[in-house]
Amino acid sequence: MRRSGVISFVFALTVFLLLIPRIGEDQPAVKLLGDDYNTGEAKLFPYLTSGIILSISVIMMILGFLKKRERRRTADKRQIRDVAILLLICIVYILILTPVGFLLSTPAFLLTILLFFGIRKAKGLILIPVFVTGAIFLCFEVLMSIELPKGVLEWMFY
Amino acid sequence: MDVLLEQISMALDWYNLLFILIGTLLGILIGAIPGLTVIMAVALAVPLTMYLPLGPSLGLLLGIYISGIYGGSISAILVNAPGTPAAAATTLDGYPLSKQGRAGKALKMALFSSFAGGMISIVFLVVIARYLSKVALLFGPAEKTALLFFALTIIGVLAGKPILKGLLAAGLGLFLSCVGSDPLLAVSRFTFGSLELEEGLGFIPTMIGLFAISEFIVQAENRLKMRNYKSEISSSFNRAENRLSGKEIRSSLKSIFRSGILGTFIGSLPGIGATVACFLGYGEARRASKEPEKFGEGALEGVAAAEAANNAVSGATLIPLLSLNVPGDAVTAILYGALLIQGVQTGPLIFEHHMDAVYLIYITLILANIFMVAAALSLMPLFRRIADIPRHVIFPIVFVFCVVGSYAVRNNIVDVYIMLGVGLLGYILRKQGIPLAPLLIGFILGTPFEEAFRQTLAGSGNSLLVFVREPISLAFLILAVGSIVLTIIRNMREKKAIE
Repeated sequence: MRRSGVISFVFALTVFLLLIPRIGEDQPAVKLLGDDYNTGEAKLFPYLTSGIILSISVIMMILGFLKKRERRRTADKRQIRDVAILLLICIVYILILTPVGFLLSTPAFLLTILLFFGIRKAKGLILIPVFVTGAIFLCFEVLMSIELPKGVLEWMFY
Repeated sequence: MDVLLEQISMALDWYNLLFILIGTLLGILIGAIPGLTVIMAVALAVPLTMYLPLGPSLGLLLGIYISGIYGGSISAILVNAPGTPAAAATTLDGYPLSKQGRAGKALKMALFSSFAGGMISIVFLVVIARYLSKVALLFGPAEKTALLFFALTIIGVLAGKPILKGLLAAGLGLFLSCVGSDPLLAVSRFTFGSLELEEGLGFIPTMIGLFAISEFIVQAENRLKMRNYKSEISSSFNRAENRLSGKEIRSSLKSIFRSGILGTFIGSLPGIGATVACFLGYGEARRASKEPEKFGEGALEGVAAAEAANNAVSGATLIPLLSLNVPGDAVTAILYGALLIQGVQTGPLIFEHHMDAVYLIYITLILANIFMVAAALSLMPLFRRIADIPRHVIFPIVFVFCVVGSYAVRNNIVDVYIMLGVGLLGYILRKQGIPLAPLLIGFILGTPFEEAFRQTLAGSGNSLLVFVREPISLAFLILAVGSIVLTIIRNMREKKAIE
């Protein structure tokens, strides 16, 4: 409770003091049905919502400090490492998706992540990435005509 | 009447039926795999519906929703791991039945009672929703603002334990809805100069990120545990042991009916959900039973009560969505967005402008229930295998679907970045014990809430007193405050009782 209160307090305060005042500062007053409307009106709801978050987080912090501090289960180092590696693989996949293309990056991503999850059988490591990539490509690109990133293989499709 | 007949013939079109079948099969499959939630499945299916007409879209989404809740009972009965939180009470008697070698009997009873519960809630949906919408038509901006405020409060209060976390989640959802162009003056807010963010965070990437990506990260936290996941099933599928007799059905009928009504009532209140209904239905059946001692040891009536209650919620959650434009839970919040994509605005006017869509929803719900029975009966021998699909194979595939689903919205990689960012936020919130459903509902209701609020202020010369002067708006505000106060008192009593 205390930790989530502090995190949300810092977030809401940053938004309240630094981000909301900048809304509409580079935009002129809006003309609506002939009347001039101040763009400052657009700040009302963000102020209201961040105000709500701020108030709740203050109550959470106070309650958290009043309560006897429970012993928190500290996260296992291996768990943190696993999540970090997983996120890294996912981020790299998303970053290379457009330049490299779906057909090359997806099997590479699936192969890497299956290895990460400990699959060592060659059959699974080859069949799953190839089959899944092929099935998704067929479903989206061919059946539903949704363009997926082609990347370096663009020349093959034109 | 003509519209109804037209919609019946439309719903019975083979293309529609095909998508209902796909939806029910997917729902059963996903519901049966612990860790894959119905919310995640519906969220992943929404990008596909963008390219489908209304009928097949509804078929796919409602098929997943209805049968996904039933699917949760499969792994609850077979492996003592509820596929969905809504099936948690089913494990209490389902798994003991499975250990006694009567898994087939338990699965058939779960199927029959899920069907019965679902049909009871559809009857109530058809009868109540239209009348409720007539009342909602009397609402002006002030009443609408107060209603949305009440809905957000009650969802936050009921979903969060402690309630502050639920309210914080609803507040965060409202804040996320501010990203993009202001709805009335088109002033950029929190876009940091990005043109892609002018349209806001995007409903599909946000919900996929919140539910699917955060779940993926949570599951991957312990990859060793995920890899070693194995079914503990020891049951047999002996035919004689697993036949469900008419006598057994008759002896559970009272519980099924009671749970169906209870589930419908709970489903029609925003924010409570199928998990609460499941336990309440089970508890009531046990209380009313002549042999309460058999509950927990493998009572078929226990399985029937829990399953009738949770499936009754699925139809009933559409009552506030259709009549008041308030999604009752995370899945209906996603359905709300999916209907908007199809050009159908829920709320009281749907009964004036889109009666065809309303009829289509009713018919699709009935068909989805029937298809669920047919699909489940034909898949029953495969259920054990479904529950055993390794999660370390499923989740990477789900991730690729998430990426493609988000990308397909605008053919823009920025939506994939949004999905991952929101997914990370969802993961952090889950680790802090903050519920995600109020956040999604806050995000979805944020824009209509802001519009109604600012319209009210503009019409009243910026006076907040208008909310107290209008009787309906005042009633909703009292209900909102009352729900917070009552929940605090109840929580304090519970705490005292435990101490």
